[in-house]
Amino acid sequence: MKSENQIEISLWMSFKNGNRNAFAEIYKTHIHSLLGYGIKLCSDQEILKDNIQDLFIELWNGRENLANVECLKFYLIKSLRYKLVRAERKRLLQINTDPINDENVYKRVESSVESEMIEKETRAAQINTVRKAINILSKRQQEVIQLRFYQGFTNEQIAELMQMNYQSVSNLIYSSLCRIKKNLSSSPVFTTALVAAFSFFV
Amino acid sequence: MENFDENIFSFFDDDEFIRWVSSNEDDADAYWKAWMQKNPGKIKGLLQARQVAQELSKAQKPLIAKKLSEDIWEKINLHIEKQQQQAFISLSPYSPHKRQRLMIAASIGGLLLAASSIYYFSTIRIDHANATAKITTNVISNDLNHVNNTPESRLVYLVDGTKITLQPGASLKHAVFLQKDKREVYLDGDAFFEVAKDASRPFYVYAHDIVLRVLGTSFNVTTNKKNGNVTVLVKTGKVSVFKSSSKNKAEFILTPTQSIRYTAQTQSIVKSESDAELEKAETNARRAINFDFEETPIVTIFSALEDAYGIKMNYDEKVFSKCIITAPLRDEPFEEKLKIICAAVGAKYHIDNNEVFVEGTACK
Repeated sequence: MKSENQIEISLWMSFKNGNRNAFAEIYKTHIHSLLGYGIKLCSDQEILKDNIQDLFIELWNGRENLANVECLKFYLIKSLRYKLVRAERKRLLQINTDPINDENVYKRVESSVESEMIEKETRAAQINTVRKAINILSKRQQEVIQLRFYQGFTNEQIAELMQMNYQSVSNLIYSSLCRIKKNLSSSPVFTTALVAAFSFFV
Repeated sequence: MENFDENIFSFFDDDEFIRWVSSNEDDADAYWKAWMQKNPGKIKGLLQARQVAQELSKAQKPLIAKKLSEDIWEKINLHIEKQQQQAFISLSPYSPHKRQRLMIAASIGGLLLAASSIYYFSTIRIDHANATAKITTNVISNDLNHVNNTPESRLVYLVDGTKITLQPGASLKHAVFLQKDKREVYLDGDAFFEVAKDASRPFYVYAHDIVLRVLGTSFNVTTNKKNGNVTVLVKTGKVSVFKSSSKNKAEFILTPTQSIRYTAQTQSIVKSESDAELEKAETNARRAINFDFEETPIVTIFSALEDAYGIKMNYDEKVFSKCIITAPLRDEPFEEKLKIICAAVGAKYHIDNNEVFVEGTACK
């Protein structure tokens, strides 16, 4: 059986040769990771969509010049982070310098993707509860939990992405988990199913 | 603050553990099965940690990802399709192993329209090297002198887009009018002119005692070296004809199919209707230098332009040696051709003292 890595490499090679199907496959493989991560960093759905779109168009246009990426997912996440941080800085600058737009920006922040999602969330109650427990963390805490548990990155990769040292990543994950535990124990919807899964929390 | 279970956290701090729970890779699975055999007392803790890690992962799946991802993909595809439609110039890096085509879109305004119309023209291909070898173009102190010493008619290209078919034995002399505000040529012999429109710069043909002034039109001129007689026959547009000795006096306006005959001995001009000779002139004019470059080294294109227009091209051969482009060029003026070619490789050009200087970076 081919390992995931080998499949990724052969996909990457045919993508570099201009194969549109390979490009579609790469998109399909990574778009969920990128959306999941992007939502944590960016409160505006349109900005997020635009940046992911740009990311893939740039990837396609520059494919011949791209080095062989060892871990494509990490490369994509890192590129998206760079784009979103820049977009967010620009957005914040607009809030500060452009009072006319204040109202619009406010509306945007309120209709944040993540809160929209929670509204639409009708699946299992415990996941919703854990989701909420994560969503009230600070932005950095949410990011580190996302990178570690959803994206499955190593501490070293996270350190590179978030521009902090290795030990600080470990410390940040630990303090974030403590907060999640605290949020969960104070949650009124702490069902028996959850108790089973998170018995160590209480 | 409450503390997190240190035992569980030790797993969360382990990259191998994270790889195991976030991927389905076989080798990770084997590793933890072996670990459990070695540490039977810690199995419960491991499985618990795994369950919590999975819950934490599940809780972060984006909820409306399906719709979003479809929307974004649609936009990406639209964008790429549009890009490819716009990319009328393709260039490929010169390398014997890898000749992948890289489509690029020229960003110079106005080029798009010009190029798309060029693209659909059909080109009569003749051997380019042959065509240029037989017509000699000499640069004489900033003047260009084209002499057709061949038994066939040959095309001369002027920088403004004008094409002149020189009949055997004919010669054409003109200044390099890259930066001049007038377009003036001196004709000896027979030639068919297709003058590019440029309202701000009238085109003058000096043929013995006769001067023709045009803005943009096509016409045939016949001159007789021995007796100095001149015949002008108009195909399209308007041509003003007057004697060089009496500028702006006794001006004749010729419209399509009209002609004049100037007799040197009597210095008389006779106007008449005729289209018999025109067809002959027209068929002659269809023989063209092939500017439809396909996968051609840019250095070859530069020297082809140099030959065709008699304009000195200055560039670093080393820098451009690996640039291979496909550029379906045809009737556009010299500078338009330059723009298209330079856009294909991201190079820049400037004109100084009637010479062209091209600068750019090496192609991979």
